[in-house]
Amino acid sequence: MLEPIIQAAWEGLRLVFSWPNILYPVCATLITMVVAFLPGISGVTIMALALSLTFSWDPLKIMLIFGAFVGGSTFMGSITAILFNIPGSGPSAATMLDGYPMAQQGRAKTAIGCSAASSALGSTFGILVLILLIPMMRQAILVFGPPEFLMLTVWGLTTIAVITRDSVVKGLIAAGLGFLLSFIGHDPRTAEPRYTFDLLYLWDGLGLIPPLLGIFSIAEMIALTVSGRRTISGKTHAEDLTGSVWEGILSVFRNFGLFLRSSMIGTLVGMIPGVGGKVASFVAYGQAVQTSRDRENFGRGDIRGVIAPEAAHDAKDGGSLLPTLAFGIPGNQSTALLLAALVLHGLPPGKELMTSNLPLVFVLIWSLFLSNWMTSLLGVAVVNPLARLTLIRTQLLAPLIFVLAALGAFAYRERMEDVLVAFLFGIVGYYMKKYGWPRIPFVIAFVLGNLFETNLHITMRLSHLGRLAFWTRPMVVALVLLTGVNFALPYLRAWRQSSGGLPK
Amino acid sequence: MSFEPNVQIESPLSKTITRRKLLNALGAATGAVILQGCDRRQNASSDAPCRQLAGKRMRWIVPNAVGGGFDAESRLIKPFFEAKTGAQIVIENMPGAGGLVGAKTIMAAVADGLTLGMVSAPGLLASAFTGEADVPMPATDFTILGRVARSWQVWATGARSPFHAIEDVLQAAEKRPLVFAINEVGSANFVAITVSAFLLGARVEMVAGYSGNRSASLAAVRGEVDLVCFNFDTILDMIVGGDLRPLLQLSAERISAHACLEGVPLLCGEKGLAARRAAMLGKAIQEAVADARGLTDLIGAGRLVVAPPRLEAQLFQCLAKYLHETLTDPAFQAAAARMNRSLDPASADVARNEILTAAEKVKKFTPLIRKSMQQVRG
Repeated sequence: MLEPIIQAAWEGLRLVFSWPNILYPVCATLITMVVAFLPGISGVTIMALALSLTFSWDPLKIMLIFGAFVGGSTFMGSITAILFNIPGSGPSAATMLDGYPMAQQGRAKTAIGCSAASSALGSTFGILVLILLIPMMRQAILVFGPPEFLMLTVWGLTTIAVITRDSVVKGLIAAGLGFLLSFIGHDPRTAEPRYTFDLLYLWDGLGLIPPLLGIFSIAEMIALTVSGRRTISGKTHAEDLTGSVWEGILSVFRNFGLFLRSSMIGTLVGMIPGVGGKVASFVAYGQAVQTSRDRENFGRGDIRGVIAPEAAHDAKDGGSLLPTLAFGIPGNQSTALLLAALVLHGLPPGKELMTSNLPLVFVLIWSLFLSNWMTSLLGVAVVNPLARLTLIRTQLLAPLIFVLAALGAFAYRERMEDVLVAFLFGIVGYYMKKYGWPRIPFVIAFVLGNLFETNLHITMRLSHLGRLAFWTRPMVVALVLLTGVNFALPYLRAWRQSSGGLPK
Repeated sequence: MSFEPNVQIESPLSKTITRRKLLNALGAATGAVILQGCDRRQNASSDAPCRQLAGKRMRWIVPNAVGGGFDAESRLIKPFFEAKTGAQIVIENMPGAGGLVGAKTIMAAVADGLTLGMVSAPGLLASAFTGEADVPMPATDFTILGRVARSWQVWATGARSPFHAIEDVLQAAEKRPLVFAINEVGSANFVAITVSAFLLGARVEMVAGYSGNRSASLAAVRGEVDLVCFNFDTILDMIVGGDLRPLLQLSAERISAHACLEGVPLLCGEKGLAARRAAMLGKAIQEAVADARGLTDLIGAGRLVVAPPRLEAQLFQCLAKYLHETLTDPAFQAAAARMNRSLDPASADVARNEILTAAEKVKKFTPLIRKSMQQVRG
């Protein structure tokens, strides 16, 4: 059973690294890396363009470049998240929570090094799991249904309880607001418009990127401008920047348990059909907070807050290829475009692709692997000039970030309303920061709210119709226990500390 | 195109050519040349409005995200239609509000031939029947230039389901409601399930909220629901892969020559399942046949290429002609076949008439559809 898989893996490896095939993933990765830095263009845009331009290409070349596109677009979004608090994509938003505070402390190099190492190793983990699961890919995916999705989002939401430790009331109100805003759009059960005020723009909800750009990037720039701080890092000379790439890379190995847990979460969430990387990043961030003994620094530049989302985000790529290739269900925009490319080139997902065309599948996997490592290594190679971007004076940087944020919001759906929403949230975010209202619970509730509601409805309806029994599903029970433990762990620790047991 | 003249050549010695014959022949030849010239001029003049598009930027609105069926078909049409019109087509994906954002953008654009796009006729018609306000109607709020493809739906169940034939499903339906997974209440699939189940005398319960056809289909594979009802093309690979089993074709003729549809009954026609069930349940058979036909005409109204309303007549004629030539071009069809896209092109007039007829036929089901929505909404 394993022999054809090993043969296909070897054949795929040979095809990727043979000349001139290797040029395709290398060029595609470089293109994706460059455009990820240009405002308004993302890896997804490049994939959409490539879809039109590569109609006449053979499937091998398509696999070579699309694997690289999927891998290349993941890491670059994290760099802008760390340096400027601008998430390149939804999942990168979780990296901002601690990555940007690190840049503010002049530790951008450490954050980027940590992000690069977490990404490369996380993606390797995801790819290894993908390869191991190929023989039982379909069965593995079928384990996950709406109750499992529901419990996964509940797990993510329990993070709010831990994060709101300083001000529980304010945290819960912020989370409530996030929930409320995530419900804008259509009721998933009845399809009735909800809080749309007869505006077509609101029919599909607020979208993820414009509010995130506002509440973090724009709000931070307003705060930076108002504060009179000279640069993001507060430093003006390169030699004042502390930290190093190696410190960041080594931190992954120092926190290897966290890295492994986060990678597992990323791969697991990636495997769930239709659930994007944003869930993986936030759930991983949540477990990092919940399983840490000293949690005070999360949200204030804790390196573990970079390791967890970055490892999960990249490990997810391998996992999300499972439902994409086995059932044609993409987990995010880039896998949706990969799927479109496969179908357009006569390679529909399913059993045939996973048997007759397995070498081509491995071309995709190795190309993704190569691209993930290339982006991380190149990211590390240019870390010094990147870190120096945090030395740009606020007077120059703030207008630039406002423009980039506006372009990013517009490029999301090419709608001017999104730009307006981003700036409105920028003002809200600034006042939240100013008056000590936590923004992370808001973001977590906003990101997970819709998924939670939809899966709650489906689970309840199926349960009502007698189509499933919630407590008889092993994965549900496991996730309930995990959630319970995660939720109770901080309180148990606090209790043991107060009773003189554990040191803090 | 090549032309093989069908002529009989007589030996020049067999007959003597008279002067009159020679004059007649010359007259006929001159007449033919003049007529041909007139015809060419007429063709040239009918194409003239489209010539003004040459070299200009033409927006092609796709009401869905990149990578979907509409997007794939648009990108397939692009080079062929560009060659015909000389315009430079820029595809703009405008997803949102179930395709309404894109559809309304086309509707609101200036009717100068420089904004075209695709819309889903069944989707828009379904939204109108379910009472959603402010939904454009395909036949009246756009200028239809032609139909690219039709979409035919099937009832399918998971491979591990106890239902092996539609008879098993109907037997179960006598004892309990059938559970379907759907994406959204009020969608074309919702209408198809409501009306087809009514025609078969089956009670149904729908579980809404699944994100996309694939996710809903997986619900059937996992056994959470009994059935799904989706476009055959979109779930074909899951059927071929052995994950889904087709049980009923919502059509009057076999949807595809694919072997997986061997023995799968049809809903429509004199011998269709709707007629047989009507006979069994003591309902009017002819009415059931007509209703089933109306439903399938609605579902099959297809993917249309449209322009904004009130497009100038001559511009409409040449654009519709170019589109039809594109869609029937063997090179285009070969490219579509390579990409597993099944086409069913129709001219503007045919597509428009079919939509008007289907809309009229299905009007009678509006109370049924709205009642079903009320039930779901509690």
